[in-house]
Amino acid sequence: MSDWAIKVESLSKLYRLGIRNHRADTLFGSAISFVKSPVRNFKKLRGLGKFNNLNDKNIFWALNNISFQVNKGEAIGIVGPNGAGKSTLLKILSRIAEPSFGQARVRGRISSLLEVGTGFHPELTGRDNIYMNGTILGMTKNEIDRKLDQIIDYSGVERHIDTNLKFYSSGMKVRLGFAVAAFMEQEIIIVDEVLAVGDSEFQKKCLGTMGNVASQGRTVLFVSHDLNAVQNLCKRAILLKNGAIVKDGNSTTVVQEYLELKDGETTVLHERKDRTGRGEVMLTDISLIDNDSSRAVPLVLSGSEISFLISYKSINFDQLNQLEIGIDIFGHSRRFITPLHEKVDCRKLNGIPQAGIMECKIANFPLLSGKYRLDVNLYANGKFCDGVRDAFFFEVANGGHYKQPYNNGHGSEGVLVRQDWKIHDPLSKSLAI
Amino acid sequence: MFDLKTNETVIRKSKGWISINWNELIFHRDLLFFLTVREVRAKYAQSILGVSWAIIQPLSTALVFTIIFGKLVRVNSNGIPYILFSYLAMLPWTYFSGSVNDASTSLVNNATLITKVYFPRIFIPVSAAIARTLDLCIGFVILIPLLIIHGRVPGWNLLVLPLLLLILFITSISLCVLFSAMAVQYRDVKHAMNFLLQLFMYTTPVVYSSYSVPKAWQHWYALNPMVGVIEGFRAAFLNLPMPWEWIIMACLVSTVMLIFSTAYFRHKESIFADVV
Repeated sequence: MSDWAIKVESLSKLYRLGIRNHRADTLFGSAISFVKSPVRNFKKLRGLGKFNNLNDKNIFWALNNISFQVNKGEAIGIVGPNGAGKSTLLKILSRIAEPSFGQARVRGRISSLLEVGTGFHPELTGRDNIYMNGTILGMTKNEIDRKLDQIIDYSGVERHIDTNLKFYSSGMKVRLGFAVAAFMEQEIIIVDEVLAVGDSEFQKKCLGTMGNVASQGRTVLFVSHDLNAVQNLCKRAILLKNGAIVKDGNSTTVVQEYLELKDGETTVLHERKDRTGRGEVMLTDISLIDNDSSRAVPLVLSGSEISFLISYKSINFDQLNQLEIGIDIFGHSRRFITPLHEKVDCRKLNGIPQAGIMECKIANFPLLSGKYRLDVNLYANGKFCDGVRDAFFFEVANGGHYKQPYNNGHGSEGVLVRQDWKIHDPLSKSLAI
Repeated sequence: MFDLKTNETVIRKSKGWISINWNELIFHRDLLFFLTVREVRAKYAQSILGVSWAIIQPLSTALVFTIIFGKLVRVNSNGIPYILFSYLAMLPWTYFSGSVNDASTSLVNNATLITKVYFPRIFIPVSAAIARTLDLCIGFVILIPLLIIHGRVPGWNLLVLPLLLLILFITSISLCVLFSAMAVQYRDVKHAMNFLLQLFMYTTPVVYSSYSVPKAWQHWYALNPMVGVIEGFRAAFLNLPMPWEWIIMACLVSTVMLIFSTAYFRHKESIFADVV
């Protein structure tokens, strides 16, 4: 085998789940419980880092007997649903947390980028923060001195470099933080979801830099929910689920497997727990209707007339004055395709129902054949109430309406455009119509 | 543990008591410097008086003590002007209590650092203690006019000062390290700190003289290393006889404290990120 950089051998990590305290139901009982509480608290706090009885049901295996090997110069992506143990793995490899069992061996200096701008202090200037952040990432002062000009140049905040960080915009902070990280020289770099911040131009720049790092023969471990980025940067990927490795191999096939894993576990929308927003109004259901048959279907033909039906219910608002809905349609690998958006106002309508269904009708449905997923965000009375990622999945098959004899080839999702073609002959004066 | 020879790190559960990894500390020494700079800058940022607070605090306390214990209660200061007597105690005491107070919450306050990146964690409480030396230096500057006003000229005894400072630093750093590590797991430390430091001040000769402690108890009393430091300070600047017995005791006790607290810190270090 070729030279390895990271060797993980039967690694496990345990955490203790929160234990619900026993509640006394009499006054006397609570008095006793109050007197005893210091002893109970002490036992609980001392127990935080100790695991003597492995059969204890309050123990949670964040990582369960994981083994793999990363070769020198390899860029490897780690994907998996929330709570799969990705971050725990990175924390152990970057020595922030200790494993409970097993071991990992790392050849070469390792640097972890689990957050952009770690150690930044608002009262220091941009320049001082470069030194602060750089030394925390394991650089020496000399090293930073040499690279200071390049770092400042890369960050694009030269004009504010001697201003206190607290006056920076959040975008500037992120750029400065990434600029420092971009000049790290360690042989092994661990990156966690840091590209999720900043504007799209900045993200592109980051991805470019990450690509460079990987091509310089350094080893990169990359955790991200951006599956496109994982596929672009890494040849190999590992899929984690519930603390165990489900698949390890070519990144395209691993990402595919991950998406299928995700598709398989769609729960009914109103039972989903992984939502954002304040919750005053909730999304309860989404369906896709083929208007020819007026039936809810999982598969539609491109070019047909369809409707998305989005049901909502007000939980806390007595009156809905305004309702705004935004749907983002993504391809199977979460490549953004197109937004759908509507805002309704009660001044134009005779009141908005407390629970209702919003219908979005699309004639000549213009999507290429493929698998799609969508995120839905709901705003009511000007407040962000509910948002669900991957709220709905559907499939489109070629319908013939757009006259596409040409197969788009890669089975990749995209948009169809109504088009008219003509041919002109520059030699003849008259236009061929 | 990173091994320089094989260039390999083995990551596994640490067992028992671990000694300090000096190579690692030396490798990351620049970080200690910048953490200290950060601590100092952050402390006096956006304040009108800035570093002057380092003078105001011990001086005004010494003045209040002079009025209460020097004029009203008339505590025996062995014939030394009370303001000098109490200021010479306030100098090391302010450093000690201030750094222990700052450091005890330092790890908890820097939880975002601890959970996001690896570096020798011991630098955090130590930098809090080092940052306080600036205040101590400024405190010394005020001492000069005080000595001149009272016509006191330090003699050869002043040569002992570096040793006294060393004991002061070792004592402070060991408690900084100990309490910061305890506070990660037990937040009670934060609540108890003010009160503990206050109690500790009364077992230390800040407002009174150690010589007023009954002879039979003085050996036990001197187990507190700050006794040797403070009486040493008074002797060094005012040309009084050096209390060597107490200073030697302070040396021993503070060394034991340092060994114990660093060992405790290293022992607990591995679970910081999990429990903070």
